Amino acid sequence: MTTATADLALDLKDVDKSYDAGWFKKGVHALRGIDMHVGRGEVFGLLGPNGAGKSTLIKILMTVISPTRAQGTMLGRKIGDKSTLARVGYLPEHHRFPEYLTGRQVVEFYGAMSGVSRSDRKRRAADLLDFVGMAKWADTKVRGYSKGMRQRVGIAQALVNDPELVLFDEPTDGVDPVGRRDIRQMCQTLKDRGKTVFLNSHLLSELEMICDRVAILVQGRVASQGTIDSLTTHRQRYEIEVASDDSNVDTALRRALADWLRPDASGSIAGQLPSGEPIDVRLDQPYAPAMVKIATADAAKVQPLLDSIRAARLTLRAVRPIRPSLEDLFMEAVTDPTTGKTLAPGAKEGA
Amino acid sequence: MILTQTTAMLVDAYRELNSKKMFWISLILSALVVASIACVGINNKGLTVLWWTISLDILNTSLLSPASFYKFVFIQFGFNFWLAWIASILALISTASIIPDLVAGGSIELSLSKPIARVRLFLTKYATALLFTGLQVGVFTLASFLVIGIRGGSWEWSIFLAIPLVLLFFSFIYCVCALLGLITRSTIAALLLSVLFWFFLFLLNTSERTVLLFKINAEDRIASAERELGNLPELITRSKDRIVTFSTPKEGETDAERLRREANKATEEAKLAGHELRVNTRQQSLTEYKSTQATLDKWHGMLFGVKSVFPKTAETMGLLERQLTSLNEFQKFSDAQEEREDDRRSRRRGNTSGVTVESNEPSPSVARKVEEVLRSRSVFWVLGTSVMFEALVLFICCAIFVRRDF
Repeated sequence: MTTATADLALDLKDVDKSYDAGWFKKGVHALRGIDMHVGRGEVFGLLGPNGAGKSTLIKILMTVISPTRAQGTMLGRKIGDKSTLARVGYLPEHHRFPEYLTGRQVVEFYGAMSGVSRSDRKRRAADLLDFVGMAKWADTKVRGYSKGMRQRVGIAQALVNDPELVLFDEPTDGVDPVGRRDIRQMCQTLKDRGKTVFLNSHLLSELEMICDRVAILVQGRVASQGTIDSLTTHRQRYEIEVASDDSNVDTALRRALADWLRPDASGSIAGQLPSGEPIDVRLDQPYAPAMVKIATADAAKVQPLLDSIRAARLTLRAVRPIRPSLEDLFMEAVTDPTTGKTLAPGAKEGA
Repeated sequence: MILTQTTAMLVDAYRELNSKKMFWISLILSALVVASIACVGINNKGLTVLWWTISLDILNTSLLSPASFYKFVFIQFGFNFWLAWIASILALISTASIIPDLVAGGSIELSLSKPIARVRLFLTKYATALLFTGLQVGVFTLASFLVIGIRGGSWEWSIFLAIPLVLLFFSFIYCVCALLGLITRSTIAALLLSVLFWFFLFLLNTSERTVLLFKINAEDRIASAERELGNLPELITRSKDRIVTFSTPKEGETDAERLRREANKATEEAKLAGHELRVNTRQQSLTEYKSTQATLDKWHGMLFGVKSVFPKTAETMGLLERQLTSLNEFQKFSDAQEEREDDRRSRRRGNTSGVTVESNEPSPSVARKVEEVLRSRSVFWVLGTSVMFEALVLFICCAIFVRRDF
């Protein structure tokens, strides 16, 4: 094992899964060679539209589904190794706990299934139910729980074996805003305790708040992965807002930016900086100021354009550095670059 | 870790059954059955129910000892009826959901994501169902042991053989229920199809027994006809000799003597004609019996072959009867029953002369021969082949469970 691998909680290479065609169903190629790395002690977010293969990937890691092909390691052991699961916690998406058990019994039962000794699971069950805010309802049967309460107990059972890696599949599904905040805080606490947290969620804003790194899965492939900063840096831009009260703004702005703009066949006004970053000018938006968008995060490169606009006696209303949100990244990933349309949900058919 | 996981699954199975109340309902019903058996007794006058006595000629201590009576009641009612049917159906209803619940979405992910091999997970779940059936049978058997000991005065330790036998019997059905539950993921479908399978086994067993009964009956008739045909030539020779004797007039024969001689001769001639006619009819019957026996033999061979592949539920339950009782133990009781049955038949035919009349109904001795044949079947054939069937079904279950993506 290399040092790099030892530092990784998950090191996935070429994970592939095809569901065979049956009599009444078509074959589905759910995962198409996933390469993914999750460092120890980080909170990692897995994003993707419905049917992208997120849950399939997690189920492969938890040995619920067998991969068609998979290389790599989880906590330093080969994918599919059952003994590794004693060090992993898992909260499935649509989990169903036995209705006849109390919250405490659920946590203790799954603790026993993970091989935790009787005394340890008794102690941990009490601590964890307190940690997830369920101490008061610990001895109430699960059938009386709300969705949020079940989710909290689910988190507690995922942590009962004191795992090094925790996989949460849609942990905030059906949980109210207070519960979501609590779950975010729990993830942060787990990170502070040195645990690796692997989150699969649709709630991009929440992932953005807590994830160190993310991967976007689209139609069974990793569209992009890395820290949110690294993914957004080359997408950062400056926006210059020019007052358009005067009807001559269009001509004046074209003249001011003439050194950078070039005629475009489509009729839009576009250009680029000497260093190659694109410039986009929007003038024709009704009731909106004229907008110059420069695809750079470097403020110095914007200064010559500002100087020209001022020299043309145009009024600058705002100059803003823009950092794209996770949602922007997500939408970019799920948009077909050729057609500009959102990719159809679901995995691709055919093995 | 293995012990921790297994204990946890057993405790969980107990909690599940406990939550369904069926476990306790079955246990209470079992207690009621044992209590009702304890209320019934036998004395020199007949049957006793609590402090009342019902006078019976065919059931009293002169024909059957109290210990044999209780063994008989336990085997026929407690074991063959209660445990083999009602308690097993209740157990099947209680446990049919174990495998569909295991593989239900949302539940299977939690189980499979734990450090436990799939085969062990499946087999442990399967074993939990059997364990609680065993617990039910154990409680019932212990109570029956006490009743036979206290009321019958015989401490029959071999009665505890009922626990593994009922467990095996139940497991032969339950393995199919588990397979169906795994395939369909539906408790109702698994339960209904298992009951259908059980009915198929019952039908197969009943057919085989019936054909065996008629086959032995045909063999019995062949032997009887051959015996009779063997005796007839001697009777014919004797009749012919007598005719010759009666044809020769004695010296100084009076008219009265002559008339008597001629009458005797005529009688002997009639007897001879009867014997010769009997030879013909017996030979025809023998040919018919042999043909019937050959057909029955073929059918029985086929049914026996099919039965050999499937679980032998009735024979499995019959093993306890074999172990607990001998055919001689109930001889007096059976003889009294037979006598009664013969009387009844004779009365029904209006024949009170005591002459044997040929009938197609199998005689009680044939039924006893069938019982002897069934008892002579080896334990390996009864249990070995049934366990092999169960092992095959469980192997298929494990193969499906291990390979399936959930």
